Amino acid sequence: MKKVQLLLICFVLAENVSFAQTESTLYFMTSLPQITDVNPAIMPRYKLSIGLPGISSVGGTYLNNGFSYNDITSKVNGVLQLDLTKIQGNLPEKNYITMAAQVDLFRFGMRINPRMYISANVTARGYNRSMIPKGLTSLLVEGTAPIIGSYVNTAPQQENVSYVESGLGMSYIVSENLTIGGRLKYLTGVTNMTTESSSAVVQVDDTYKITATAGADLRTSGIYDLNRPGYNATDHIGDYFKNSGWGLDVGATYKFMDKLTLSASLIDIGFINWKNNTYRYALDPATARYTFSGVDVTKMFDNTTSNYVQNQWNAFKENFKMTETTTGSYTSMLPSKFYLSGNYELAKNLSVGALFFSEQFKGRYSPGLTAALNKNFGKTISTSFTYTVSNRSYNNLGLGFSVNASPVQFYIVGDNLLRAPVSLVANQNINSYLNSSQLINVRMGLNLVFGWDKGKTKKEVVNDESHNPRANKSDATVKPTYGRAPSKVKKKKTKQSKSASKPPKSKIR
Amino acid sequence: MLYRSLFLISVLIVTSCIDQKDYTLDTLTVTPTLAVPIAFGDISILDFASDTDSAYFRTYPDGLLYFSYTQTLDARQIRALFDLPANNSTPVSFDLPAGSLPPSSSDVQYSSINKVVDFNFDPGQLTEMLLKGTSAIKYTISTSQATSPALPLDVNLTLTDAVEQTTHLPFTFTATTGTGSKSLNGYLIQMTDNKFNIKLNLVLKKRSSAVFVPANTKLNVNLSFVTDFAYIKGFFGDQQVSLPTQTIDLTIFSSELEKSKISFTDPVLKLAVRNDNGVPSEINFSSIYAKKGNSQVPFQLNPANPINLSYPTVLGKYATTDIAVTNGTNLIALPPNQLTYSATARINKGLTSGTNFMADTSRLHVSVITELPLHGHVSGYTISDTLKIDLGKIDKSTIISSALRVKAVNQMPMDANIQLYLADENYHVIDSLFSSGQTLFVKSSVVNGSGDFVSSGVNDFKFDLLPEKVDKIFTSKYLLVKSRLNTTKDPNGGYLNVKFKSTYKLKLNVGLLAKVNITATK
Repeated sequence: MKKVQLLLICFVLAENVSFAQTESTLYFMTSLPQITDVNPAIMPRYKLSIGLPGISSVGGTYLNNGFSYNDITSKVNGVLQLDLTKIQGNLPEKNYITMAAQVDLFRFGMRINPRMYISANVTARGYNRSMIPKGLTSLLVEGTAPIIGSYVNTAPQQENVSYVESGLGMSYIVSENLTIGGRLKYLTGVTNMTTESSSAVVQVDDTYKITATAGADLRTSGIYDLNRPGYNATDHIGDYFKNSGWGLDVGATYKFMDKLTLSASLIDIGFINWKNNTYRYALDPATARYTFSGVDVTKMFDNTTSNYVQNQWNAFKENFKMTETTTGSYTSMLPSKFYLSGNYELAKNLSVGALFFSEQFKGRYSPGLTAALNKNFGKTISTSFTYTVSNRSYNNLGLGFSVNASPVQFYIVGDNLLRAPVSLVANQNINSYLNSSQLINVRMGLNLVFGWDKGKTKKEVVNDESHNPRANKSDATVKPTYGRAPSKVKKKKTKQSKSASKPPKSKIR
Repeated sequence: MLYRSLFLISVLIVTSCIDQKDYTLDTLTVTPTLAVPIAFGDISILDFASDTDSAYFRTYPDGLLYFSYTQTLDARQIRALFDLPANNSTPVSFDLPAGSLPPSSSDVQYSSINKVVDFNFDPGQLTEMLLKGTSAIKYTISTSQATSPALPLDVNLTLTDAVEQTTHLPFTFTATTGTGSKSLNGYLIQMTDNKFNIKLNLVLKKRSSAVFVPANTKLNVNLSFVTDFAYIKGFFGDQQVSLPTQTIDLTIFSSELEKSKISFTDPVLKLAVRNDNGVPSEINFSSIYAKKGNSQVPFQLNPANPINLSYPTVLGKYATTDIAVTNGTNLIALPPNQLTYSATARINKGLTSGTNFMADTSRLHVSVITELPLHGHVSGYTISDTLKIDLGKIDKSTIISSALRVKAVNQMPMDANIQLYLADENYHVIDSLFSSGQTLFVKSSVVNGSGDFVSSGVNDFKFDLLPEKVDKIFTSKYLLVKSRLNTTKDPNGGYLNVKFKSTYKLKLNVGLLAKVNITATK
């Protein structure tokens, strides 16, 4: 079965894959310039970073809030069977299967002064979310008997979008404790499919009469032509840039206490207006209705039941035929994310953090929690170990890892990555990892990085009066470093300093 | 290129860590329980009746259904009584001038004769006749002796009292020696006591040479009429015709009704005589009785024999005379399958004059009309139907268990005991679908003392189908539905006289609850 390979390829390659993934482990990887993707206020540790096209950041996400592979399969006497009965009782009412991917086409970041960091990026993103209602699977697995005298909604929903994001960001240290950041993004839409509304209700009354009613309103952009025979998208590439929109990321960090920093961000607040090759597919609930009551016995008496079932089927198909019409422009919103975190420094280069995050998109609010342990080994290696609870999934042990062989930085980050090597060691394959996962996201790449920021300097007692100029001069100044390491200054030993016996009261951080 | 290579290498590394055997599914198995409707319908009493019977159902204004059956006993043409015309030969004779007739350069009218033609219709007198079709006047013209050479002549004939129906032009034609005919189709002849006038003119034609005519030579003209009338008017006389004894089958009671015990509260049986002829008429049934096997019941008629019949006063209309059968209940109780009768019909009884008319299509129709209001009781009424089964495309092993659900809301005052039989391709019954402990008994509605509907009989059944029965469904070719019907009983078990109205329905829903095993293998 090639499904897994296909899935992996889709993670990264598919145009229609997800940008809406929340990445919690990345939030703690301050060594990576990509951290600005989740909070534009956080300044990366490197003062200058360059992302090479196509390789600096390649990421994908698979997210299923309903079930894992293990939940739907059983092995009985060595025979692997798809056992949908196993999971049916535990499915949520709405099962979202999300696949997403992104790849950086270009990335640049630089600290232009101790207070300001600017960044730019061009990133291709794709997102696909399918919603399969529990009612649909229950019809297949349990049949119509459980809904006698009741009804079930079986309407799936589909969201699919691909676009290119061109962003300019900035992080600015407002004060010693507060840093704010933002990124403005110009969005160029490529393809879109959105479900404005959908319903498909199957009702069974106490005489087993089955009534189906449906309604749907779907919009697409850039997809109809792709399915036309002989259509070559590269010949019409300009058409795909008619769709434009804007997005905004905002964030802030606040040093609440000496070792405790809080941060928050709102990501992907924006929209795309779709103009190219827009189509509407609709089902009118007034006509998309059909009741099957069985064979009319009065026709049995008349002996006119020949082709009855076929005629009924034809009537059903006719009633539920979707209308396809061209339509005007329409707007779709981006799936927005919210992050709120706290990070406590246990020791130098060792911290613990907690993150609450959520995604809000098309009526769905999807929250999650992450706990993290972060350790930097100098500027060479940075690590983050996380545990995430999200989308009814509780077995997500994440890993963030970056290694710097200056100026090249390699990294890999994932919210459910740590169990993969464990599975590999234990089983010589990662099957158990894949089969039990509902959340898999990976981001990896190579950055060119320069100028490691050592971070905070140690508090030290200075006895030299020259380090406390305010005590002696009214016009003396102190260059603020806002927690970062000050520029290296060669200290000159003076007699005065040597002879000083009383330590000054001021501190330099 | 380097990047793509690195990426592909990464993908390959990851996929190489996957054991494919975990993703090669061998089977997909689901065992849903399906609730599926099989049949539905709002069934009326009309649906229960056979095709033959249902054609005769009618509805009274109050919704009560009745069985209306009309069978025509005879459609006798009174016209057949008459021979028209009784005398259809009219001779006319011209005296020809004797001697040698010199040549003549022009035609000369020589002689003229007026003649009265008498159809001599006895005992009546016709005053008007519209001719059609093959109606014609035939003639034969010849000289009593030969002339030398032949004398050229014409005879001009005019029917003074006959005009073409639409143009009103008189009928006239010219003939010469020999035999011929001229159509009278479309001509209206006015008569007085069967008589009308004709006029004949003898014209001697121009001749180039002298002709010798022997003495006492006559030109003989013989006319005859072929009459095919569209209508006639006049007085047709006092005449009588006998309708021979006839026996006809009454198909009304040849249905399932005959096999059941049935009682109609107010049956209506009557004779109806439709008279198209504008003639005072009477009918006398010398014998009329219903038969079933060796049993027979004579009709008691009101009015009694002989019975004056109504007649129309305008040509093209008709009049109907209803004759009640006062012992209809006894007759229906037989129930009869044959009716035997003989009768005489008489027109203008005792009259010597009058204005009668008759069209060529006029008939005297005698019919038996039966109205059976569905008000009464019945027991043991059996209906059956055959349905073809084709489950060849379904794997019977997929059915783990099954049950039939039958819900019936019955407004009809009639209960039904239903059994379904499975039959092979030769209609031989293999088994019944319901086992001995299972009864599909649809309760009747509740009625009041007048037999009117009070409340529905509500029935809700669920039958578990035994696996062996289900197996036989798959090997069967036909499903025979047999129902035994009885009308509502009173608390003591006696049958009530109930009414069946057109609005009463049996609302039926049949569903199947089946747990199935659906397995797909690679």
